[in-house]
Amino acid sequence: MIRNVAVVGYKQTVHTAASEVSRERMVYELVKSFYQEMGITKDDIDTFVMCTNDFQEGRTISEVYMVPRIGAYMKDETKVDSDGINAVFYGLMRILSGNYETALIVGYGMGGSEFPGPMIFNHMLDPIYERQLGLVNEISAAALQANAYMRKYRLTELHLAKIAAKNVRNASRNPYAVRRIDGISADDVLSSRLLYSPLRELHMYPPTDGACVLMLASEEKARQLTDTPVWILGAANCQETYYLGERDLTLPVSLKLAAKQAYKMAKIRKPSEQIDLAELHTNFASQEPIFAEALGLYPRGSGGSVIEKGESEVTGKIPLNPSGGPLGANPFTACGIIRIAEACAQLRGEAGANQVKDARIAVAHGYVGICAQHNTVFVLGTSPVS
Amino acid sequence: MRMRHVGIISVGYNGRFVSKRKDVNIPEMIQAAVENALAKTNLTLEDIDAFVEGNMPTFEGINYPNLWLSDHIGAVNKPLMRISTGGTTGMSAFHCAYYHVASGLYDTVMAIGWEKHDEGDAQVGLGGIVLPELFTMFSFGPAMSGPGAGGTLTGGGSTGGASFQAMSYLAKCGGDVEHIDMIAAQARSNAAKNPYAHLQMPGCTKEDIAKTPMVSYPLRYGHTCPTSCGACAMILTTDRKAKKYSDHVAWVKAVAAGTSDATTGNLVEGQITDPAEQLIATQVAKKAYAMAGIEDPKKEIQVAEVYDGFAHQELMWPERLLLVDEGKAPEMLERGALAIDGDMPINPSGGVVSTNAIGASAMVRVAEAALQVMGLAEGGHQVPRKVRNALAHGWGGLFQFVTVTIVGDTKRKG
Amino acid sequence: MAVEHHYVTPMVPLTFTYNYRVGAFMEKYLQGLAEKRLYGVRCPGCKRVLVPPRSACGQCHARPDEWVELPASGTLEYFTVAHVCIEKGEIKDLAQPVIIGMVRVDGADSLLTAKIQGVAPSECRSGLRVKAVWKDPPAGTVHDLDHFKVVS
Repeated sequence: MIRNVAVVGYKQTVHTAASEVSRERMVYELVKSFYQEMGITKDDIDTFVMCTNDFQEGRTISEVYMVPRIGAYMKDETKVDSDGINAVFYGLMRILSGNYETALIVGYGMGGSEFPGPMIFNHMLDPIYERQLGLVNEISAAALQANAYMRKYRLTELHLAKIAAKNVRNASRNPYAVRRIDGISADDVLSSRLLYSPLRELHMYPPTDGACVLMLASEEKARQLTDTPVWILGAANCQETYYLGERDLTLPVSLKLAAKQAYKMAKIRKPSEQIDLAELHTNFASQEPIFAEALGLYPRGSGGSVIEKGESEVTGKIPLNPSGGPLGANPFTACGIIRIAEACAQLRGEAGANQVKDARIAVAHGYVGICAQHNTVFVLGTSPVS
Repeated sequence: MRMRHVGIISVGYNGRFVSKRKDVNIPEMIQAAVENALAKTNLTLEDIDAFVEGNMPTFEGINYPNLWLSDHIGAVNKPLMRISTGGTTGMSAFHCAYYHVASGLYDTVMAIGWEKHDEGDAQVGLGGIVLPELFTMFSFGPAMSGPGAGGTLTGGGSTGGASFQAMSYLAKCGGDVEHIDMIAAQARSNAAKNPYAHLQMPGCTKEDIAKTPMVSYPLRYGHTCPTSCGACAMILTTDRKAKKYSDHVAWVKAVAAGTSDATTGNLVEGQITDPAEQLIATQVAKKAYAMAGIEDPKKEIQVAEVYDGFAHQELMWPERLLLVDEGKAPEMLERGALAIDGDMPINPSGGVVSTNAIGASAMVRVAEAALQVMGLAEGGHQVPRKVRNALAHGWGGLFQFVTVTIVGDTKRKG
Repeated sequence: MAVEHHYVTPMVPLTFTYNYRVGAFMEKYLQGLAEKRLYGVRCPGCKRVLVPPRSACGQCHARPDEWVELPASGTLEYFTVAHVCIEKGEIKDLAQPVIIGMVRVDGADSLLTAKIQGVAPSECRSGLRVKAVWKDPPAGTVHDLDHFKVVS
């Protein structure tokens, strides 16, 4: 990359199942407190990249009333309509161009109190065929994906339950998460409501109201703003074919390609040895081995053995979702932004009870679309690329 | 830090913009625009490094349509970003494509803006911007509704807001309804010289427009835009690759954007925002001129494509964008200065008031500005003078999102 | 301290109605289903046979132009058993479980999503041979191919 860009700050709400305040107030309070904690004002932000979604809010041009609430009144602002990680990607490109030195990214979701996730998902399907057929939805698609993986490799329902329990256990130690079940076990997962086999309620993200704000800065500005900038070493995104029946659901090729490009930029040659942890956008527990393997962190088909050996735990070989991931909280467009924020917290040593030891290089991942049709990968580190 | 130079090497349309396309579905319509843009270069889809796509999703009821479009636009296994900013989506998407190249991460990028209005109800889609707020307020009181309800009610929502804006503009410039009739007639006649425009009315006169019914004073039916189906695709690349791929290039000299507030007023404090004031448009224009190194826009810009969803805006925006002295647009219109062969041609393409596929419209402004620089505007709407610089403008939401792009025949200095 | 959450559900008089053009390829596909025929298209570039048919091959960018009638049979590649359905965003229990499968259609390079019948959910497994069952009389929708039935 032509200049070094860092994450200089971030803040997420304490996510809830039902916010006590309106989404405008929730986002306003979050961003205002972020400015105060950073010791900046809105004048320090050169450009704003929002991430909102009309279907999520039941409103055309969803960001229409939100812009002044994030401090963007009479300022340069735009909106990415995708997962929030892509808004961070656009902010990165704006700073790389040299036209801006700082960027503020904001995303949020009200899947708890305002709009159920599955309804949003339904509108992503093409209206002339898949939506008419009425068989594919977010959960059934993830279930088909889980079955494809479990059929091919030795991953059992017990393994799957353990993966879910691990995520929720981590979430229970994460002060921001909404699904926090003390002492959760694989049995608890296996007794939760069966949706589409093998997926049960506790394999799936909880309805969440929440938001996340994140700030990027060029190297010069970053060093002024914080003592602990987290450097973006590499970033890439990729979208694969729409047609579900022509994709390898056990390894999304778009994730593999995005990872390859991001690692190339970051000069990572052996991710399984060089990456210290990963925050993955796993809306379903079954996606954890699938995404981790596409990212080259664990060998193909190793999902069962990884969870058996505890390699993905906070204390393990390559911790996956030390924050608990989306199974702990999934405020829709904020989800990918939170993956970056949580990865940064790890690299800054601020992850509290879930702190991974000696974390220096992390991967953050976000997706949008059925079974992750479009993937974005960030490689983050405590030092810039040499 | 020196910014990378970015050039537009191709503009493509799927065909003429029309009310209905019964023969194609959405991806097929857009596929034609992508092919058209490529055909004008020696590029194939393999050469495109990344895609940017945008539309207003409530008009077709599809969330993240870029996912369905993947195969039809050639984006399989490629990077893609989706942008949506209301009416100015097309230009915001273009700016995103610009930043893809300017960032140094990608060399050759395709930007796509589109809308297929015949598959949804545009009025319902537009209603979705403010009606949820208004009905929450009607049912549960101002304290329960979101921030926009009271203010938007004051302004009257989209068409109401536009007529408020038109009234205020006419009061400021001393013009009258007849001027709006005149500019609308000019737009429709210009459109007749643009083979891709929707409402083409050769020889349209102000009397023809004046015969149309009043919708919301001072705006007549003949002053409003149609709803169109169509797609626009543009290809951008680096200065090193531009000459290799195409015989024509329009250099992007400036990109600028800004957002004010959607509320037209604050009932509690008794304030009304005048939507004809548009401080944000002037602010953004100044930023663009600074980036392009343009000191005297009236002399240095030879043509402008402004986003005129309503005909009076074709007079108002040039003033706010500092292309025309404040209050002088009606007078310039009267003496033919805003015509294709005038001193400051405005919307030789016919503008949005002649063609409005919303997700494409703001991109079409850049596309048309680029065509003018490249000398490629077809059908007689190419302005006769040499175009050194052209300005493209877009607005969206409740008049509060503004985007400006300046393209020229030479690269930006520095 | 219990906090009372006050929620309202505003009724907004906007009816979002959409009328989608299916396009020539889907049109012919639907006509085929009404005639109890399953059509795919072959891509001239990579020679893959794609179903449902469409105007673009995402892999090689060519425009598929050759219609191929496929035997309406295949192999069940993988599946899930639905114990719920989603109605207007709400997850609702199903009275009877339904098998949703991905069928590798004979002669095609795509998998089709379809309901699978003729086997108990507990007995269902990958590799079973299946055959299309048509809706009679046809309704002119994608449901004219009602489901795939397991054949022994």
